[in-house]
Amino acid sequence: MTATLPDTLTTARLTLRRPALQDLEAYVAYYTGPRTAGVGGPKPRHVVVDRFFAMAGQWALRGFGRYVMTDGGAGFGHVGVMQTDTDAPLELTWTLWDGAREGQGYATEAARAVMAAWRGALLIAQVAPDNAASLRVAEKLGFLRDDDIAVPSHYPEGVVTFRQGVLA
Amino acid sequence: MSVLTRPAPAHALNAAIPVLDTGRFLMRGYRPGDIAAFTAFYASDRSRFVAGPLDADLACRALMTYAGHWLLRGYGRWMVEDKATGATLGNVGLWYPEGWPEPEIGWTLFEGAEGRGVAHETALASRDYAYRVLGWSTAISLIDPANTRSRALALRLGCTPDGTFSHARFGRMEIWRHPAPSEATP
Repeated sequence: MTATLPDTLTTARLTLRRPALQDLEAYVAYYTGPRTAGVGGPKPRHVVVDRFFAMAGQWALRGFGRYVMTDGGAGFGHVGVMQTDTDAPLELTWTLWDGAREGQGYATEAARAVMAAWRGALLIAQVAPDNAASLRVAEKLGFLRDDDIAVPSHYPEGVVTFRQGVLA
Repeated sequence: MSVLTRPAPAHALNAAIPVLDTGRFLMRGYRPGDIAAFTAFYASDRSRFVAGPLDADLACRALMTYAGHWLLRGYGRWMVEDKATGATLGNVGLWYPEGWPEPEIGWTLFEGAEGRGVAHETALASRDYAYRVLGWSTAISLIDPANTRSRALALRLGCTPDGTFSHARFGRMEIWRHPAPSEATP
């Protein structure tokens, strides 16, 4: 199934747009830093750059992907639907690259916009068990815990899996 | 090599990837149907010279990294398709990942695609595209010292050894320098 999502989504406070090279260094700073313990990081720079390229490339492959969150300036997070293999589930992901942006509802606001635009199949979400802020976002988005969802072998242990509660 | 008008792309972003016709082969962008070929390649011993093997999830991410390279750098590697059969034969083109000394011309052939000049014909087209369309003044290819077939192709393409290079993931590689645009046969 291939959907095509808009280039840009807007919310009350945010503009969500596709990844661009100008976002690379903020993403690298995040993914080579300590805030990524819950998603298997930190990773060396060359791995992180490949991941950023893959995040952009999913748009070319599938017509949907992760957006970069901005509020007029530099990108400070990403949000959207990830799918690797065609048989893999459609995963909604949300990440704030900059810790200073936490606690203000940005991830929830951005994820809601993506869910509203998304016309695809049921989404899942995966959150590290000790990532309290992200677990709260999943709850606010109406995701329900579902322990039957398979997790890729290279994901961190103990990841909590959710499925979308109500189709947007 | 001729640059075709692009076929109706599945998505506008695929329009960033031109289609090249090399005579026997089409060099084109990426489709979900290509994932299976990548997964098989990265599950096989053939991927040992390019940091493989990789599981299916990481093989798919590798494909998406190639696709994203086009969007972010404006050039990249193509899927190689047999015009006669439609089979995907490999992944060849222009590649500048993090930590590389400079952009390279890279080639990877899938199982069963060797021995027919696929890499030669498509690497030449890639070099022609780099020099004529992108205006590169030089190009290299990075080759694992144990990869004798790739080294033979580098020689056939007129490349000369230009030192070595070590990468955190790919290990030590030989740098092969391509002939300059004025000396390269299109």
